[in-house]
Amino acid sequence: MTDIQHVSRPFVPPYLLERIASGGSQRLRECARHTLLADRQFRAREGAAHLPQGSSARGQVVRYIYSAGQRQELPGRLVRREGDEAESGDAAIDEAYHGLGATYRYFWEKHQRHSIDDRGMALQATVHFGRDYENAFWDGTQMVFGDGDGELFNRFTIALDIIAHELTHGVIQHEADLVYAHQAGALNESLSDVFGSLVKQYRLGQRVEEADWLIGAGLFTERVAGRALRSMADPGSAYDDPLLGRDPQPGHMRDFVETEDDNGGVHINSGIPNRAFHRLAMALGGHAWDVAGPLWYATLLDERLGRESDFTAFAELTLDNAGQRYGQGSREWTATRDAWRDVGVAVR
Amino acid sequence: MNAGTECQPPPLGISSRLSLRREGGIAHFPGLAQPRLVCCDRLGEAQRERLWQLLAEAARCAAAPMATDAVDRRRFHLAIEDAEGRCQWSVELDEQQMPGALLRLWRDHKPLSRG
Repeated sequence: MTDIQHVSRPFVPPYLLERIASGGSQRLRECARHTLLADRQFRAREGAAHLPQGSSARGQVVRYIYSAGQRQELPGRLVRREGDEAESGDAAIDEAYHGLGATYRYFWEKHQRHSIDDRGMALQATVHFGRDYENAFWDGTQMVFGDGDGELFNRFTIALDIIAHELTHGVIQHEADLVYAHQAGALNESLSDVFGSLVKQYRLGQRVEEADWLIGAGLFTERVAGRALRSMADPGSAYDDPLLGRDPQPGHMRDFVETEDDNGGVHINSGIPNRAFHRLAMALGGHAWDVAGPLWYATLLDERLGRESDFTAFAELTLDNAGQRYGQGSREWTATRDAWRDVGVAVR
Repeated sequence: MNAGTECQPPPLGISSRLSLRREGGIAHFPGLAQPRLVCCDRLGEAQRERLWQLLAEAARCAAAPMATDAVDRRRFHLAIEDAEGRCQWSVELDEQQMPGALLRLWRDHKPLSRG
């Protein structure tokens, strides 16, 4: 794949466009400026998309579940809303409803966060998106879940941590807004995995040694040789399947994957900070949401966490927050430092 | 960097190859991320013309900006290569922008090792 002579529209992350717009040749600057302008207009349209009324009472969730009816249209038809206590009988609808509720409850009870934006934003999800659609995503406003193809993947609402993972992308967007590329993007993915796992552990009342530390357990059908999408405890061990390939996640900086695929390896290198969180939680014992979770949450909200932060910058901030909360040299501070060192991220 | 402009694909010759690659999603699966190749020497003239029309449609769809706040979404990278494997044209677009016929083409072609 060499000598690209004509490129119609490559994906270029906005942060890179901003760099080009402020530097580079006149032609490049002009192209980048036009792209950014079109992008912002598009984002403004997206942001203006109508969201149903949220919650004005802190601590009270407001959920809206839609069905796309196997079409690729958003949001689709409203099929369950807050207060509809009777189960619909449709597994995807009910799992989405309860999964959003469990995720809201975790963020509220452990971090006093009132929904995605901390202002009571409505939690909106669409299920039955597309035909045989084997993915879930956050579209910048709402969560979207496919039914899976039934051959490799089950429906994506089957795993609570996946629902929480997608909702956490919304939280990140409203806080650090980490650029979705390279190490910042891998931090974005890792934070979504961390809180996805925390929501699941909190719901199940698990201590750290009882948790499976898997992301997306139950998503694969029995035809797939794999346990889940990712393993936080042992990155790279989640699956090894003839069709899907082998789990590419590293768990240490010496195995960091330099690639332009996957937005610069956002779902690949996230294994490194994932494992750091797991190491910290296991070293402290008890419930991961008592110390490790709040440390990561405080760092996500830390104004010093820039949009393009790398692993080291994030790690240093977790250590600083541990020092502020528990004291430098404390058990918690030492465990945080050691967790990052264990995965090869240099901290002081 | 020509967002908002349309760049038509070059004519498809008998030695042209189309590479379709899907990226992104909630996880990176190396097996599913491998490019799927359509060799034009196996297509008749009318099929090549139809394929060209689909690629031109994809180029038009790709001119629309992508949703940059979206994460875990998938996107497709389409490229035409010549007989020597040089890329003559490429385009990248959101999964939702992908013409249905090209999506089916991707699904119907299992990953092939590059010769």
